[in-house]
Amino acid sequence: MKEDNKIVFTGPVGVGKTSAIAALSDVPIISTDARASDMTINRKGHTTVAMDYGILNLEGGGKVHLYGTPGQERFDFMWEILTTGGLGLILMLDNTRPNPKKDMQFFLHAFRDYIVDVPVVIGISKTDLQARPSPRDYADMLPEVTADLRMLNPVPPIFEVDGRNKEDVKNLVLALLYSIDPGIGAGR
Amino acid sequence: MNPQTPKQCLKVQAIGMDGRKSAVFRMAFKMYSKRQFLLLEAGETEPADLAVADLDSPEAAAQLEDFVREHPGVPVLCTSVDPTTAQPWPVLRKPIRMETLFPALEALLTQTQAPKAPPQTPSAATHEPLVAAPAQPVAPADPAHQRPTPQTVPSPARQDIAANEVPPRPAPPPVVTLLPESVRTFDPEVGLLGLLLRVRRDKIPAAITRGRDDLVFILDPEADRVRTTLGDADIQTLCSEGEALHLRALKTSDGLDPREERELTLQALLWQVAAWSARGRLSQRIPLNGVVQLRQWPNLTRLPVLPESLRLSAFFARSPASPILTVKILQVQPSDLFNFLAAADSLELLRYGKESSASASKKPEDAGASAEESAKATPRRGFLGRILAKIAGL
Repeated sequence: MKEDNKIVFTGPVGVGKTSAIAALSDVPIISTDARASDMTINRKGHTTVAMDYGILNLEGGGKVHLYGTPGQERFDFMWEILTTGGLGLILMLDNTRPNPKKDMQFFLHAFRDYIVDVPVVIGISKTDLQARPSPRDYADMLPEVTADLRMLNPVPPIFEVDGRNKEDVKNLVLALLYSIDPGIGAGR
Repeated sequence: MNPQTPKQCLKVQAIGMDGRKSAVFRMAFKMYSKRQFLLLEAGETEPADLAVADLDSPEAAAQLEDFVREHPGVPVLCTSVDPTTAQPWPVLRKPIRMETLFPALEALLTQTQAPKAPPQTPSAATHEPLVAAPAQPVAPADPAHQRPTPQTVPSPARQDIAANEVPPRPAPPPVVTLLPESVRTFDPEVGLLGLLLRVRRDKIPAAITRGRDDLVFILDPEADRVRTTLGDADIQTLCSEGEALHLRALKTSDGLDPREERELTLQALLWQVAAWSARGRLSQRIPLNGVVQLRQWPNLTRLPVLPESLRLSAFFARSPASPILTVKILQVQPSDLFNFLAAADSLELLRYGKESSASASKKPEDAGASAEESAKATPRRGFLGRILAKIAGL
């Protein structure tokens, strides 16, 4: 098996993707200038849009590439280059946004072809500011939101997370790994 | 002072690309760590080391022709929805992916590419995405950069010695088995757990006292809030059967010492109390050979940690399984499994038996089959295990 692989982080702007990748990456994350308001032409003449990249170096060689997609919905054309192969998708949702259910629907549909083959894990951020919907509420919404989707894991992990909290981010990734194979590390 | 030579930066000319497509390539180039690619700006006169052309844009043909005429010898990678388009250059099928783009660029750099005047019959190479880059790093054909190949094959004498020095394999871990006759059970409807379950079901603010007067918990199930002055050790003690606990309606006069009061969620309290009440025993609600499945994952980042809870959640979310089968497949300790099941059941996360659901698409025997398939995929499991170790150690 090719021992470089990737995890894609997605979700709306400001949800905590950058913090989450920074919590895991062994190298300083690569981010463009976070001019999140628009895909503008800057004075150099080219477009800028926020995206993040980090690396997990594994003992004995091999890497896991951590990709954070640009969060603005109109940049969804930029996601396609990332969505093949890989370990899975981590979808982060912001509970303080006006319609988190709609966000969940949008992102799961945007990655519909991807999540047929890889598991998805959902992290709900900013629940300290806005407690509802709760993870249970999101789980209850999921059948309706995903009625027309085929998902590798139709019962995904849905956790409250703070993207700045390393333990929360670790648990998202661990849940992803166990969703791929509950038997890894078993019997130790 | 001589500055260290920076990583070679290869300048890439975009042909037939609009702002959006260029932005995608810039993003991809930033994410590629093995080599530095830089997309040239429109109008920039710096010489390009290679070019990437989008054949599907209307102006691409003319721009490509101009580029090739002005920059003979500069290799070109083409992209198109139809890779059979007759081109002297390699063509990468759209949609472009990170996994195919960079091997194609690396392959291009290793080839001596010269434009051929007449279009040729598409070769087999243009029908498929270019193959992955060779395992060794790509290097320019410069004798100054070549090193003698190191001697990697040991001599026969050294091979004999090496064979005799093979370290012994570590002993496999003992196989965990679940003997039905050894399983003890407990009743989740008694004791502190039973009272908490009643509060959750009734959805009415309540108080729990030790004896008649010692107020220990004030509960608001609708708000998922519990107030208590007890520490974890005291709560664990209360979970022992035999403690005289009473449940009653909340009075307006009920209050706790604000200096010692702390607040928890009812979910977290239920989860922990269920595990402490189980103490490695199987809940009487769960038949040893009966199948259970998770209807939802527990919110594990906001619940007390239970051993193996992530693994067991992933397993039971995937397909229904009995406790006996679960121990056999996952090799978890029965006590950890029983504590987890009790905790999950306390939050009404378990689905029993053959209850139908859109998400319960797998049969119990699928759990065994899928686990066996997982066990066979040893290289992948090894790689996932290394990621697991890395993440757990962060």
